[in-house]
Parts: sequence; C-alpha cells; structure tokens
Amino acid sequence: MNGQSGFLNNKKRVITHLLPALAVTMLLVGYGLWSAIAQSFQTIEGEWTFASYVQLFNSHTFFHSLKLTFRVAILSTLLALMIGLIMTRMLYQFFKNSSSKILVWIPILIPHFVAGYLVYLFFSQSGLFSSLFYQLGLLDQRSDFPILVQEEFGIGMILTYVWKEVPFVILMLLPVYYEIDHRYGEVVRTLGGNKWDAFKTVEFPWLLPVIVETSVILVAFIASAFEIPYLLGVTRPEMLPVRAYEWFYDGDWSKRPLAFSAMILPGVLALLLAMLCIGAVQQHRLRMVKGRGR
Amino acid sequence: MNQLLQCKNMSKYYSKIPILQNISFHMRSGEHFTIVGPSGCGKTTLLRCLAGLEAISEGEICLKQKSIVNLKPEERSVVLMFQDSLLFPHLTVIENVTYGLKRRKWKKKERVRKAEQMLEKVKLLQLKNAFPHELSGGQKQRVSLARALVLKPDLLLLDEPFSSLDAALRESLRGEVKELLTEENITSLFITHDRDEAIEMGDRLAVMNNGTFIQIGEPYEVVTNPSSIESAKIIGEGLALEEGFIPLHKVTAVPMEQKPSEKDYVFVQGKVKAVTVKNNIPCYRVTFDQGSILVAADRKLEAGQNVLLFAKREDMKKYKKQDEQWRRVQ
Repeated sequence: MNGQSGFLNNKKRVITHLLPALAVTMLLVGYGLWSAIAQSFQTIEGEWTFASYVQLFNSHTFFHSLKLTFRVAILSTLLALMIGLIMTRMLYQFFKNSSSKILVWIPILIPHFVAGYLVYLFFSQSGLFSSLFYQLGLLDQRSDFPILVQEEFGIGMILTYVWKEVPFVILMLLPVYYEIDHRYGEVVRTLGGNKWDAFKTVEFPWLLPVIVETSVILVAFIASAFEIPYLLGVTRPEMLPVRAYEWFYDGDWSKRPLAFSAMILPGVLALLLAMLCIGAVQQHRLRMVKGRGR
Repeated sequence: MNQLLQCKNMSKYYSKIPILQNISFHMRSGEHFTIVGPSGCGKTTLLRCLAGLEAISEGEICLKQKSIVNLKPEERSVVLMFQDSLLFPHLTVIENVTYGLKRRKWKKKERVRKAEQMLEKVKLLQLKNAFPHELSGGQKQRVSLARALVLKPDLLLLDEPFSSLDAALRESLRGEVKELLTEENITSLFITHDRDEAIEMGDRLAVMNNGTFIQIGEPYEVVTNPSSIESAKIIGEGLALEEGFIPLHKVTAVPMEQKPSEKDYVFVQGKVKAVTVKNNIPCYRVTFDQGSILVAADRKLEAGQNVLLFAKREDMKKYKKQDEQWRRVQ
C-alpha cells in the first residue's frame, strides 16, 4: 500500500514539475497549430468552409509544388541515408577512440541558410567550381558549367540537404553500430555467408528502426523547411513552404487560408507516414532487443 | 591414418605478443577432441584460427589433407558455435536453422525438410515458428546446435557453448550434445575451462597453457597422470605438488595434531576453507601453498581448522621429463 501511494505521489509530483513546460508548449505550439488548422477551414471573414482545400486540389501549381517538395525531400533523404550509412560503416571503428568525429559533425553546426549559400557559392554558374574549371581550361566559358542551383529539378537544394543531413544520419547510426554484437557477423561467415550476407542479416536489421525514424524526421523536416528552397529554388515550380509563404504574405489576404492548408496537407502526410513506419518497425525492434545475445 | 585435421607448428601473434605458440595436433574423422585450459590461455583464439576468423602467423592447417590457411571462413567446411547461442533475433527458429542451407543455395522445400529433421533431433520441432526471445537459454543453445549440425560440417568447433547456462542444464545438455554429435558422425573440437565438461565431452583431451599444448591424451590418463605440475593444476584430480602428483582418492586430510608417524608418507600443511558435500560424502575444501583441493577425511573437520593433507609416497606419480613430455604431446 505504501509503495502504491508512494508511486501515486511520485506521479503527481512528476506532473506538477512538468506542468510549466507542458503549459507553455500547449499554449504556444498547441494554440498555433489549432489556429493554423482553424484558419485553413475558414474564409478570411471567419466563415467555416472547405474552400481552400477544394481550391488546392484543383490547382496545378499546388500539385507541381507538392511533387517538387516530395521529390527533393525523398531524394535528399535517400542520398543522405546511403552516404551516411556507408560513412558510418567505414568509419565507426576509427571513430571509437578518436575525437576526429567532430570533423564530420561540423556541418550540423552550420545553419541551413549558410549551407545553402555555400552551395550557391560553389556550384552556381558563376561559382567557385565553374571558375576553377574555367581557369584549368576544362570549360570554354563559365556558362558551360552545368546549372546545378536555381533549376527546376532541385539539384542545388538536394546537394545542400545531403551535405547538411549526412552528419545527422551518422549521429543517429553510430550508436547502433556500437551496440551491434559483431559476433553475429562471424556466425554468418562460419555458416557460409559472405560479408554482404553479414550486412543483410546482422547490421541492417539492427539499423532498420533507426533508418526508418531518421527518414521520417528528414522527409518531414525537408518538406516543411523554407530557407533553402527560397534561396536555391526557382520561381516556378517552387517548394510548398515557399508557395505557402507567398500566399501568406501576398497582398491578397483571401489567400491566407490557402497558405495554411498548403502546409497542413504535407504535415498530415508526414504524420501518417511516421505512424505507419514507426508502427511497422516497432515489433521488429522489440524482437531484436529481446532476442539478442544469449 | 584417417586424419581429418592436421595442425602443424601453428602460431599466432598479436603485435608480436605470442598468443598461440607452435601448436601441432591432429584429429581423426568422427573424433571428439577437447581442449581445456585456464581463461586467457589462447583456446578461443585457436578456434577462431581454425574457423578462419583470425589469420595464423605461422604454420599450417590441413583439413582432409588440403591446406585451408588461405580460405575465407565461408569457404571452409568448419562451423563455430559460440559461448552464446547468437540466434538471429529477427528470424524464427526454422529460419535460423535453415540459414546456412540457404547460403548454400538449397531449395526451400529441401532446406525446410532438413531443418525440421534436425529440430526433431534436438526436440524443438514444436517451436519451429517461435522467435529467439520466446525460448529459454537451453532451447536457444539447442537451436544453435541444430543450425550448425544441419550443415554437416567436416569440423564443428564449440567454444564453451554451455558456459552461459546454469549448472543443472549444463550437465544435462552435455550428454545430449555428445550423443547427437556421435549419432551424426560429426568431428568436434570442444573447448572449455571446466574440467568435468572436458573429461565428459572428449575422446581425447588436450591441456593448454600459455598458448601451447602441454599434454594430450585420453581423458582418464590425463586426469590421473598429468605430465607436469601445470597440467596437474589445470586438469588433475588430486594433489599437485612440485615433486609429483597424487590422485585424489589416495589423499586424506587429518587435523594437524593427529599427524601419522609413518615416514613413507607425504605431508602438506593446509587449512579448511569450506565444508561441503559431494556424492553424499562430507568433503573439505583445503587450501595449501600451491593451490586447493576438495578432499574427504576420516574425521569431522571444521572450516578454519589447520590440517595435514597426506598420502603414501608410493602413490605419488612423478611428472614426465620435458623431452619425453614434448614427444608425447606431438
């Protein structure tokens, strides 16, 4: 009985201690979120309506933006994951007792806007690489350098996100690599498997839950980020956050509900994606944790 | 000769520190060979070298008269079973057991049939769809054994596979495993630091110390007639003294004040550290200068009591001379 009442007291105490932080979060974030959802279902005069969503689904501009947004988000995420995984695989032993891993994490400290500017500086037609190739005689004119930034496919944005997110991927995967019991790899080898089998059977199943979670975080972040597409994107089609920003700050206030609904839709998609993916790997994760070792 | 495995002058160094030194031995087909030695003497490194997980620094390893030194682990018909079961946690029991067969490109139907037969033999067929986290420690080791045996390797290496299990389970599994290995005609090399396990599991037994074999022979011979004081301390069941070895059944403990007067006796001073019961007989853990021994006594002794361990001088077995010992080991 004492233990039970002690537990309840503890629980109450925890809630009391967390209340200020919870209240601020609920008021600011919760209110902001509710306000955005409410305004997406209202006219500028405050009448409740689905009009902005109907307008969005009838808008080619919106779908072009949506397509570009998810193309950039998914490609950036996949590339960052692949490069991050390969780098972690190659370097985790070296990083174990070395402070040099700080070098890999430098891009994390650099703001996205600065990263975007650096990509512009290096990869634009008037940038450092085009100048270098021109000086080396590899290009007749600097304008022969391929257009990598401010073009329709979003290469510049993808480059920036990959450069920024690879260290994040390494940061997420490194602890998993240290957690893996590498005797499993030796089991695979003595049972007749090669190194690739060892990766598929041992490393990948351990990495899978973290890869899925990292993918969801990256896709959701990239799909809703504003600075990089604003700096490195083209006028049309633009990424959804830029489109929403334009609708919001346009002189025409009647387009503000469109701005909210344009950001709520990818938000809902990202939320559904997160729930599906994390739910799918949860049982796998439990099996891995409970069944490892002895 | 029917020799399946031959190791000749095998050595292994880590940063010039010798871990294995000049090891030579052979194994016959179908033989169960046990290596016993203290922790850190190089047993596991030896198995890893045989499995191909470590490269040897010098020497030769031949399996079926062919050198396997330059073969990768997956190219050797050698399977290593680890201390822990190391079942793949995301695969079911049947998927774990068929894993090696799948790598060898067996058809699914065939590999499932073969795995089911093996699971039947280890009495776990009813758990074929369970995941490793749903199994007990003993069941996991059985599945691990089935996973190794289903491949019918030329040589099965067992690295203290029962060390993570409790004593009762360990004893019951020993018998089961040896029976199964014999039934399947598998040649096995078993390492342990548990002397009872070493004696029970092996047709022949090698004593290892500081990276080298110091005695090889049949278990009874090695246990009752150790060739050196090191071997006697590791495996001998009796009193290991500098001048020779006295088998346990010839040794008795008496209180210090009741020292027998006969001059043809060997005496060693000791102290009772603990009182226990073995095979329904009271026994005493007596420590002395060169070690400790579990010994019976004619009279009741108590913990902390100073005692004399004694035996007839004629019962003492002299250690073999170094060159003779080395010749026997080779």
